[in-house]
Amino acid sequence: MRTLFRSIASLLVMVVAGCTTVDPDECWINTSGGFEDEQPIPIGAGVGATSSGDFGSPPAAEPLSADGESNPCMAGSVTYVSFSPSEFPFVTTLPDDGTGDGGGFQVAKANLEFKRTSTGSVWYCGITIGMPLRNHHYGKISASRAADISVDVTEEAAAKMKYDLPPGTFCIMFVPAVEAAFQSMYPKLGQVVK
Amino acid sequence: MTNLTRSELLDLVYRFYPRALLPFERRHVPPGEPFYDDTEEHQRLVEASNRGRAEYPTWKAMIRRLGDRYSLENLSLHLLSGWTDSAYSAGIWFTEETALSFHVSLLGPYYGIHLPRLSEEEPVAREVAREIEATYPGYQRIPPELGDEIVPDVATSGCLMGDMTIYICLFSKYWTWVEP
Repeated sequence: MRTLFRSIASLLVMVVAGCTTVDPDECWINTSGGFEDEQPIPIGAGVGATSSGDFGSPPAAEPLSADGESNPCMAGSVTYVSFSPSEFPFVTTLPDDGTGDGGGFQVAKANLEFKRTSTGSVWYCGITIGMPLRNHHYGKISASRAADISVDVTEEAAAKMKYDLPPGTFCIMFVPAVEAAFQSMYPKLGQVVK
Repeated sequence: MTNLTRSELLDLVYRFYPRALLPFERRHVPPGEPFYDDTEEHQRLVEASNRGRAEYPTWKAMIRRLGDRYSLENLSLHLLSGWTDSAYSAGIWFTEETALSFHVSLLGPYYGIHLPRLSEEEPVAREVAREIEATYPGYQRIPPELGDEIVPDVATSGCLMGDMTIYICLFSKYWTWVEP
């Protein structure tokens, strides 16, 4: 269940700052029935929201639209991010020599987009993630696995960010947030982030 | 061996980390404002990393010796990929969940060993210390009462002002690989 929740939630991270409670009368309801025997889940709860049309009826405004009319629940308060593995093109910078409990190294440079729905402002944070090709705990880490891990971790970090910060400060704060997410989600992976 | 003091370690840290300057990306720095990566201090850190790459075979030989006895993971491979960092680092696994880490600074003649809370691992730590001191003569171990001190006014990518300790500054962010 937790795994299912996690995989769905990671498709689209919803950041709620200031709109922490959702009135079902005002906001969208996920009519997909929730998980297993659960009741329908308010979109504002941060689950069930996808960008692929899970809604029974169209929302009042596209969540990712910077120009459209804001949904009343989201106005000035909600920001979405959704990263893709293709944004983390890992390349091998050091081949694995096969010795020890870990070896080799791979690096991806990403330029991640963030949007503030209230103002429509868009900004980017450059981030570089490196991790070994082989690790004591995780075994071999292919480039595609490294990219998937990076998506998980950066989306988790983005969910905990404050979106009212100036872009430069936001980007500085984002790097330690990613480090912390690595530490909690993939401890002892041996990654570096800058 | 001399007695280490907080002030000499802070003086060393401030040679490699600019004070009161945040590591903004260049695109977020207004024209004419100082850019973190261009500071003398950061350039010294880059040079120290370059020296670390050049002298890497000494580190590699040492961790190979330790790796013959323990389950060892080298945490310095990013240095060989051109990253800037302040130390060589490695971890030794005791179980699937517990490990210690050890670090040899590239900024000065210091090393550190980060033990988990298990006292039975002390003999391994002593052996690592002997190996480091034999490989790097004159290097001193920084004790926790100094290493855990917060360094005022410095930040680096991934570690904000107020979170930077002497250990993190001299031994890289990998110091936090072992918790607490």
